[in-house]
Amino acid sequence: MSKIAEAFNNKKAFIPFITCGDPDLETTKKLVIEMEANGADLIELGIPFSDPTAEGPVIQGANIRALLNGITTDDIFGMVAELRETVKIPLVFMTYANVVFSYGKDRFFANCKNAGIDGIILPDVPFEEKAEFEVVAMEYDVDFISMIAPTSKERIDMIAKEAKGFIYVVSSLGVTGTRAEINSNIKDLVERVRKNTDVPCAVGFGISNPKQAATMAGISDGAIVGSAIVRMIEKYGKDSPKEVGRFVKDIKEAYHAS
Amino acid sequence: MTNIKLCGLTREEDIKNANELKPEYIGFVFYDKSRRNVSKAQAKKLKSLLNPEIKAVGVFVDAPTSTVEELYTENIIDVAQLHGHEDEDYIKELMDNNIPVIKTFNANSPEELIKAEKSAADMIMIDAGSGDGVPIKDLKLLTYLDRPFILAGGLNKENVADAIEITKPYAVDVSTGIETDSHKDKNKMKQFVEAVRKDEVAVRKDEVAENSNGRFGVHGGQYIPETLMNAVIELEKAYNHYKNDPEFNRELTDLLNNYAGRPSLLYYAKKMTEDLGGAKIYLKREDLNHTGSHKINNVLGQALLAKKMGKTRLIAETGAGQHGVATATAAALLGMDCVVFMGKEDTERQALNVYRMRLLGAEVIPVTSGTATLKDAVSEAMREWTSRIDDTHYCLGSVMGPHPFPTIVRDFQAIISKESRSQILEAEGKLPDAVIACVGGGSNAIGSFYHYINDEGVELIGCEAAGRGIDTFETAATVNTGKIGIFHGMKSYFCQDEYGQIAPVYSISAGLDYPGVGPEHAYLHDIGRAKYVPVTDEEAVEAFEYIAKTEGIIAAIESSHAIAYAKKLAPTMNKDQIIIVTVSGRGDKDCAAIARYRGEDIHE
Repeated sequence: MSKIAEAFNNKKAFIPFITCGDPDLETTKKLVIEMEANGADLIELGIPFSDPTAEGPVIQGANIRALLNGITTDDIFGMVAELRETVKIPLVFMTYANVVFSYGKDRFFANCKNAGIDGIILPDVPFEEKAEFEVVAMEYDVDFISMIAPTSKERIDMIAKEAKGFIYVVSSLGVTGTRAEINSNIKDLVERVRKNTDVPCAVGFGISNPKQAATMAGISDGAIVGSAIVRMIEKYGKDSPKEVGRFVKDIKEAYHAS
Repeated sequence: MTNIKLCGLTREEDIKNANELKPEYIGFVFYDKSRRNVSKAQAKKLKSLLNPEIKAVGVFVDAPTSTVEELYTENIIDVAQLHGHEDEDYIKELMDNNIPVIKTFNANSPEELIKAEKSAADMIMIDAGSGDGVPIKDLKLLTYLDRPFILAGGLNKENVADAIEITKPYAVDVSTGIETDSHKDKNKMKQFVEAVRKDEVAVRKDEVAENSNGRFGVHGGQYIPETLMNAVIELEKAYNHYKNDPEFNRELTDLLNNYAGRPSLLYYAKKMTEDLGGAKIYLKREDLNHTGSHKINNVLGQALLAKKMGKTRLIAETGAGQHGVATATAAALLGMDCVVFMGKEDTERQALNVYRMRLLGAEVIPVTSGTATLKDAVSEAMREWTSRIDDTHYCLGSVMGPHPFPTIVRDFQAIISKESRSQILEAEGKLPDAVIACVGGGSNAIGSFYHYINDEGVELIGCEAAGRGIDTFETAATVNTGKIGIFHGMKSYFCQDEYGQIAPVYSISAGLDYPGVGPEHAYLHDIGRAKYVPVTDEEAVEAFEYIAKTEGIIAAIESSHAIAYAKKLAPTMNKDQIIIVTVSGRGDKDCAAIARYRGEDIHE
C-alpha cells in the first residue's frame, strides 16, 4: 500500500492545505506539526507561484506574500526534509506546471523523494498532458494526483482508471475559495469514479467549516480545506498554528460525530 | 471529413439508392443539351422522394436567374451549381435571394484558379473543364487553393481515395464514374461512397496524430484545469465543423467585408520609401478596419462561432483595449452579453478605450491582482471561464492560451497575409522580401506571416517590445530574454526567473506588455523560419512620430514597433526589394500617453 493510501485506510481522511512560506517557513513548519498532532491525515503543501490561475483571492494572496518573503522551491525542499525528522503522515506538493518544469522535472522529483514528498498536484496539468510529468514522478515514487471536476462527465472513466494516490474531486465550478453551499452532485461524481477504480476520492474547493467537511467526507473518502485555513494564517500570522490546530481538531470531531 | 455529391440523378431508383447511401448532396441537371437533363416536373417528383437530410443541387449552364430562383422557391433545389459563363453579378443576385451558390472553375487554367479563389460564391467546384469523366491533369495545383472546394472531374471508386489524399477537398463530385451504360449503377454508387468514407477514417486518424493537443514543435498543448477541458474540446469540435461550413464562411465574409471594411488596403508608402532610400515599403492597413485594429478579424470569427455553439455571453481579456473594444463591438452587433477584464494599470493608460467598451454595452472589470496588466487580465478571464462555462465563450484575443485557441485565432487572422499576398502580386508582380509585424501574444504577426511561411524567399520578422532595453529588467521581449516554460495553457517562451516565477514585464505599449508569446511563434523561432527582434520604447515613439509626419498616418504604439524596425532595415536593402509592414492598429488611443512620454500633459 502506498503511503497516501494508508491515510485513507479504514477512515475518512482530512486533508488541510497551506502555502509554504506564508507568513514564513518557520510558521509553516509549526503549522504542519500542529495539524498532524490534531489529526490531519495528509497535508497539501503549496509551493508558491506568481500567477496561480486556479486560485481565488485568498490563496492568491498567500502565494504573493510567500514570494515577497523571497521563498524559493529549494528553501521548501529544505524545510520538508527537516519536517520529515518528526512528521509521519503523507505530504503532497500542490503547485503549478511551470514551477516543476523550470526546476527540471528529474531534479524536482528526485528532491521530492529525498525530502519525503509522497505526491504532486498540478491543477494546470490535465489528463492529456500528465504523461510528461507522471512518467518522471513515478520513477521517484511520487504519486501524480488526478483531478476531476463537475464538468468532467465521460472523462471521469479514463481519468479514474489511471489515477494514483487519491483523486481530487473538485466540488464546484470556479476557483478555490470558500462557498456558502456546494451545489454539484458530488455523490454522482464519486459513484462514477468508484465504477472505475478503488483509489480514494477526496473532495475540495469551497469547504469552509467542520460541518461541510464532515458532510463531504461522508459521501466520499475525505475532505480538503484550503482557503478557510489560509485565511486564518493571514489573520493570525506567526500565532496561527494554535488557531489552525484547534480548527483541525474541530473538523475531526465533526467527522466522528457524523 | 469529405462530403459526397452524387450528380446527374434522373430516375426514382437513383433517389432510392441515394437515400440508402446518404451522400451529403445529390445533383439534378437542368440543361437540355445534357443527356442527364431533367424537367422541372421530374425534379419535383424526385425531390419529394429524397431523404430531407440530403441536399438537392440544381446544375445550370447560363440559365436565366429567374429559372434558378423559381426552382429554389418551390423547394425543388436547395443549392444552385453554375457551370456556364455566369459572372459575379449573376452569382451575387442569387446569393442576395439567399440561394447557396456553387460555381465551377476549370482546374487546367491558372487564371481560372485565381478567379475561383476570389469568387463570391459560397463554394467553388474545380473540374477538368467540359467533358464527361475527364480527370484533372495536375491535382497538386489544387493544394495551393486557399479556400474549401468541391473536387470533380473523372472521379471513380479507384482514384477517389488518392485524389482526396492529395487535394483534401471539402467534397467530391461524381457522375460518369458511377454509371454503366449511361445510367446510374447502384453497385458503383455504393463502392464510390465506401471508398470515400473509408478514406475519411484514415484521414481523421492522421489529423488526430498530427494535431495532438495542438503542438507546434514542442510548444502549445493544453495546460489548463480539468474544469475547462470539456469546454476546449467542445470548442475544437465546433470549430472543425464550422471552419469548412459554407454558410458559416459566408456569414463571416459578409461581416468582414460589409461591417469591418475588409479587404484592408495595401498602401505604398512612397514618401517613407523615398526618405529611407532603400527597399520599397508597403503598409498593410489593419488600422483602417472597423474598431481600428486587426482584432476585429478574430473577434467576428469567434463571436459567430460562439453564437453557433449556443453561447450567449462573451468574456475577454484586453491589454491596450483594442481586443476589448472589438469584442464589445461584436457582442453588441450579435446581441450577446460581454464582460472584459483589463489590468487596472491599463484602464488608466487607455481610459478612452474603457469608455468605448462601456458605451458599447460591455462591463469592464479592472483587474488588480499581480502586476495589474495584460497577463493578469488573462488569468482573471480564465478564472471567470472556469466558474461559468455553459453560456459563456472565452473570446481569447491572441494566438495563445490552450489549444485550439492558437490555431483558431491564427486562422481568423490569416486573412491579413491572404490579402496582402495577392495585393502585392497584383501591384508588383512578385512577393515581398520581408514582412514585418509587432509581436505581443502575436496575433497580427502570425496573421501577417501565415501565407508566406512556405515562401522561403520572404523573410518574416516579428518586433518585440524591448521596453527600456533587453539588458534591463524593464522589458517584454519574450523570445529575446525569456526561456521555455508553461503558462496560460501553453508551452512556449516566457519571461521568468530561475524558479519559474513569471516576470513582471514592462513596455510603453499596453498591447505588447505580456510575458509570453504564442506557441507557433516559438516554433517559427526554433526552426529559424522567423526572427524576432527587440524594439525599445524610445525607438517606437520615434517611429510613431515619424510615420505621422511622413505619411499622415497615426499608427498604434504597438504597430510603431514594427515601423521602427522597418526604418532600420529598409535603408540596408536595394531599391528593387520590397518590405510589407503591418500597421495593426490606429494610434488615437495612444496620443495622450505619448504626449506624457514627451513631457506634455494633455487631457482627453
